[in-house]
Amino acid sequence: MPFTISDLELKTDLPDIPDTIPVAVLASPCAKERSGSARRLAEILDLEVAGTVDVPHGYAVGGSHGQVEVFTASGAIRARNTDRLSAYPDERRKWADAKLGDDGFQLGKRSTEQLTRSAMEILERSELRDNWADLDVVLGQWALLDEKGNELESGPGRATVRLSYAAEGIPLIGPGAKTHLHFDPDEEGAGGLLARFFHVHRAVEASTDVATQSLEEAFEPLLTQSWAGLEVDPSSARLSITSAKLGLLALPADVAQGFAAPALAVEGQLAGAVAADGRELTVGFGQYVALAHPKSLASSGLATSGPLVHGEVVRRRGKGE
Amino acid sequence: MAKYVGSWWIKDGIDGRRLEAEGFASTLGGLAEFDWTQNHGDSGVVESDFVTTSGSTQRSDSVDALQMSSHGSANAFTIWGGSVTTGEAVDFGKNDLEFFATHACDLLEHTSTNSVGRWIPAFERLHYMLGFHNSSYSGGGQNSRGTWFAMYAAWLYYGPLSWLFRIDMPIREAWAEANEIVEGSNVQWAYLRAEAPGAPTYNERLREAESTDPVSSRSFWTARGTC
Repeated sequence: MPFTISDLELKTDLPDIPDTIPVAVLASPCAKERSGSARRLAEILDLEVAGTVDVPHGYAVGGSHGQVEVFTASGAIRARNTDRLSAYPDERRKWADAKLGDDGFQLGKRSTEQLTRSAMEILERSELRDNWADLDVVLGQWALLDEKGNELESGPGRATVRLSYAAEGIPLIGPGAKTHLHFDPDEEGAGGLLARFFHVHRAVEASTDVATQSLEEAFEPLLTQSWAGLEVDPSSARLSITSAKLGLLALPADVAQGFAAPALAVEGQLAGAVAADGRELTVGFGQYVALAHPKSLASSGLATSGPLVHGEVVRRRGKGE
Repeated sequence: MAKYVGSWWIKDGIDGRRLEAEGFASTLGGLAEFDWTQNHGDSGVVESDFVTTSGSTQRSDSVDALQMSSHGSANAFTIWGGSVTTGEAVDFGKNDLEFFATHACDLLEHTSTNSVGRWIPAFERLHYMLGFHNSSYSGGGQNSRGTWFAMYAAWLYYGPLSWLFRIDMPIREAWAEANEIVEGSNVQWAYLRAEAPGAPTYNERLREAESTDPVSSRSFWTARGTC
């Protein structure tokens, strides 16, 4: 017997789900229009451009020391200086004002402001500065461990300036609406050298309101899914939600997306699942839960066929064949 | 000599989880430099694939690199009807395995109270475990995670644009770039790698010929970043 909505243990408040909610209708991207941005990003990254080639997801400009890729499906653009990606012998990065905080190492005000300025200059110069909803600067984290797992040392890694976006006043969630500028520290450790870049943000050309599903309907795929062949008895197992964020789901850069529909990004845990050997297991999950009612979407002319599903491999090659 | 790659997946109603893992192996399998030799799904994903079991062949260790899609926690990842935990006889790389990549949530979480060093006993001659510090997602277009990982780790080096230029990056960067495409910024990619004198791994490429394995006087590095 599957879980029901009343079995859900809420460890966080679910956002209020209105009866109707906007769907953002997205403009068709034109990858060719990104060619100027691609060229300027190549300059910013000090790339020697050997030429432009078609790749499965669009086209790439650059050479063997770095490339700029443009995604046909979304107009997204990604760039890197591959020499910089391999320039260090290990994870350590020397930021002058990084300090250990409650949530790992964080940059000080001086570096944060300097990197933010650099990011804005790069976005202006590459004509990719959109109206962003939120901006922060985060550090990668690393730790060095001995053979027994004891932490010997830890510190900050690459810094990332992150921009997020919204449509109709609702956050765009998921993988397909963000800008990241990844910096390694310069010699002074305050400013940065751009190592990687990623920008995906589809333009919104219109919006329309659609009806939302009930929570029972929305959570059904999560409640009824199987769990790796484990025995899951709703009377003893617990399905808990630890975080839930409402937004319009922006799909990955390699997906052609006509509209961004409302969804919940939920995280949680299944506890008390029983393995075949009798052990109890706890596993985590992260899942997007669609909120728009399919009939309401369809009546707005926004129905989707779902993804193209590939066949399964039924014969395998043996090792060495 | 070709490197062998494999895919292990448990769908649990979301076919994208199969596509994630198979995308990695099938993309590489299209190159002359790799052979896709192992593909196991749902009830075919068994404990003896990952845990040293008397009388069984550990199929995960007959490949050089694999990608897996299943649920997880800091201390375990699921196989069909059970799990593989840090407390079991996991010896990745006793034969072949160098790179183990998984979608499993939280597997490589590293905090002051729960060190990712709990997975170090699983490193026999393994070079990298690649996964996540927190929850990874399904159901929102994550299907191509493995395809992107394979493309950045090797395919775009050997692939059709190589007559003009090659895209060449360390495997850790390929994992980060792949997950930046398919995950939201709230998700944190992570890895745990071993290295030893004479066996550096920080800038190791999947495309390269098999390198010296880190086996003695080892140190371990973990890192994480925003997707």
